[in-house]
Amino acid sequence: MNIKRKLYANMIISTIIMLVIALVLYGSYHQLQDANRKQAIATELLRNIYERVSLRDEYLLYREERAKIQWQRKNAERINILSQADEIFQSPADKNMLLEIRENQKISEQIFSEIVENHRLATSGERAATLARHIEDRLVSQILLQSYNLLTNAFRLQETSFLSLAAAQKRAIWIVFVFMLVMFGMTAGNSLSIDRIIAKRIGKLQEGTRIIGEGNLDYRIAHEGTDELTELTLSFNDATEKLKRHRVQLEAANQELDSFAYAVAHDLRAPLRAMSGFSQALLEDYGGELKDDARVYLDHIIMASKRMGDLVEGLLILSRSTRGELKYSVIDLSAQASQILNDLAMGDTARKVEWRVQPGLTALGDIRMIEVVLRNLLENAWKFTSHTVAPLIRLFAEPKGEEHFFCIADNGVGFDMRHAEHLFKPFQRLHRQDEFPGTGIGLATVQRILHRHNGTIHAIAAPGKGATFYFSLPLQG
Amino acid sequence: MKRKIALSWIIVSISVVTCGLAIVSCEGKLDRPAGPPEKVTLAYTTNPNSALVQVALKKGYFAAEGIDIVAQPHLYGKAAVAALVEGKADLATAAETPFIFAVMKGSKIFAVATIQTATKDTAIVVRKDRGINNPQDLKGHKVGVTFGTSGEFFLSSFLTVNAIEQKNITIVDLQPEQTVDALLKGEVDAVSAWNPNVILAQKKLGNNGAIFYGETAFTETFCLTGNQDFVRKNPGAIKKVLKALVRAEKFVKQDPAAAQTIVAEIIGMDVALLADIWPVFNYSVELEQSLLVTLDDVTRWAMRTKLVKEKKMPNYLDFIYMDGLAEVKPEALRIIR
Repeated sequence: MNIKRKLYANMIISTIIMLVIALVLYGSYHQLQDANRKQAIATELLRNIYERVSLRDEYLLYREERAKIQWQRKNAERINILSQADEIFQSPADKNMLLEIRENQKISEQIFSEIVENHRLATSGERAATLARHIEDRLVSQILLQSYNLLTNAFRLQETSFLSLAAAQKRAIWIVFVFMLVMFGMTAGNSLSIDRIIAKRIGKLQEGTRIIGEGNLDYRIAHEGTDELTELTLSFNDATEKLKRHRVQLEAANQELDSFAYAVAHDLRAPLRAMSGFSQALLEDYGGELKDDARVYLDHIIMASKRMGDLVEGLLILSRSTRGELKYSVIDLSAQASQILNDLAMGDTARKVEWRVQPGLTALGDIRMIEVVLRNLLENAWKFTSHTVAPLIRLFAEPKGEEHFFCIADNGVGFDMRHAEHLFKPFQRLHRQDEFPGTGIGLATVQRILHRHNGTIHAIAAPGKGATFYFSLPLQG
Repeated sequence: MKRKIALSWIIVSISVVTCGLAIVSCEGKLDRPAGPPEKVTLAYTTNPNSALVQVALKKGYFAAEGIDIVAQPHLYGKAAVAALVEGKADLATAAETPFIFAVMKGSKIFAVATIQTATKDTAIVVRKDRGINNPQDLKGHKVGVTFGTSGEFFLSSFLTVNAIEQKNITIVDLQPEQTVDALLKGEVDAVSAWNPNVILAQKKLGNNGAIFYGETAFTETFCLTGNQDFVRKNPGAIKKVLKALVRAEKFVKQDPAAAQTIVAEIIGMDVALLADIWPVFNYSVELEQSLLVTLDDVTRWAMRTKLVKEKKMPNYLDFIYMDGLAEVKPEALRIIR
């Protein structure tokens, strides 16, 4: 059964059981009503018996006609009560009890009539007083006995209504209890099963996605069953397989592209060198014979050749950055940065640039590649502070959230953050060539190298307020 | 995961324990007899009045309750009470009349429970050929009855409520086993008796016979009685005997046909004939306030007719043992206390 069906089953079971419980409660309510009606009738009967007993005693004491008539009226009323009771009390035991009550009533009525008749005969002189007294003694004993039996039966009738109520309640409680237990068992079983799926199988899925996400496209997530999670796992494995195929194709295409770019850059260098060399030779050997305009043209050719040479060199470096195996070692970033800055200072003695390098910064990486990163970033900082009055370049480490960044900051011209997305694209430049010369390949190379090291790079800057480049690398140890 | 499994087990365990507790609380404790069976000698009558005892014997209810019963059959209650008084039995079944006679003679006995009541069991069977067609016709005739039994009390009550003075009829003492024959042979014109003799006499007389009932004159109350000393010393045994009788009462109510077969076999009566009179009997183990009324009533009659020497009405509360029924079937104990 799949998860959806299990949840659906839970809902159906709960609904059915709630319906059953509702029906049981509805039935119990009707049984309660029935028991209440029985109670009312039994109480009415008991009241009638008490009233008749009082009237009987009153008659036996004073022989008043009024008491006799009232007793007879109450007797008629009891017939009506018993008729109502017949409709409500339906069980054989109750019917038997009603039968006994009727029998009691019949005998009591007969005895009372005989008492009345005996009294009439005694007062009219038709029956001897002694005999009449003996007869009355007998009859009174019997009517007393019948009264007690009548009361007993009426109380029993009342008790049966209590008992039927208690039985109905007990039955309802049991049914509700059993159904709730069933509901609990089934929903708990289903929930535990779903919980097992979530805890075990989603855990596997999560672990698999993590492994695949880390680049292991050969990994496949194990699957079992036929539910939605199995389908999800199979889809994920399928997507991974497709991703793997695409990656292979992409890597092949990239490699081809890189090889092409490298070949183009490499092959362009010789004709470019020839073009530049011969232009230079022409200027040196025949410069005097050329007109001024011709010399200017030649200068332009030489300058363009040089710039093209720089571009080709940049392309070669960019291409190399994605080629070859990385050889990891612990790199002293502080020492490497200081060396590059010293080189820059020696090559540009006209400028006075202050730098501050946080000592002891180390990271894991390919030393040749990381040198390219540091050189590019520091050369940029050096270049873009050329118009700054008191240039300052800093290298320091800064934790940011859970990540640890190395930062190269300068107080140069900075840039507008709106154009930040173009920073790391090849041949994209944020400044004019005549203002700050460059090829636009350096930062693209830097980003590629850092990505190959599983690192990142981003920059924060503002026009006229300098720029800070944050990059991450695997830390030592 | 392990914690979740443990939690699941805890939930399941709590549910099982809850279920168990609920079942135990609803079903109550099981009451099983403990220890060796207690020996009880029970004198009972071989007529339908003692049907509950007969069913309990046949169905083995006494043994099931842990009673080693020694059953002592008697033809009528007066003889059973005599066995009780003489120390030949621990318990006896008898109607109210022999019981009060024994009490009035100073016997230390208890009524432990009523086991049957009826208003149409004891009756007068008459021969029509002797000119008896209604109660008043009994005047001048010979009526047979067993002295010291409910038959005698019924006859007296019947005559009284019909305004017939006893001096106007001739009363003859007959043993219960003689009544039917005496009537058939014409030695008496009528008999005051109880079943099965009433129905047997009527059947044998055929159209020549008639039965006079006296519902307004008498209610027969048949009891389980016991020796006071035995009852006080053996409350556990009394409880067990009562439990067995209550089981018999349930059986009689649930399966009257089977009960009739058992009773008919024990008392040697045709089962169809017994089935005819079965509705007359109300079989219920109880102690009602009406028992006191009946006992007082019969005692007053016995004192007035000088059948007993004692002139003071005993307090019958001292002759009724209520503790047994109070424990076994409390809802049936309806004596005002």
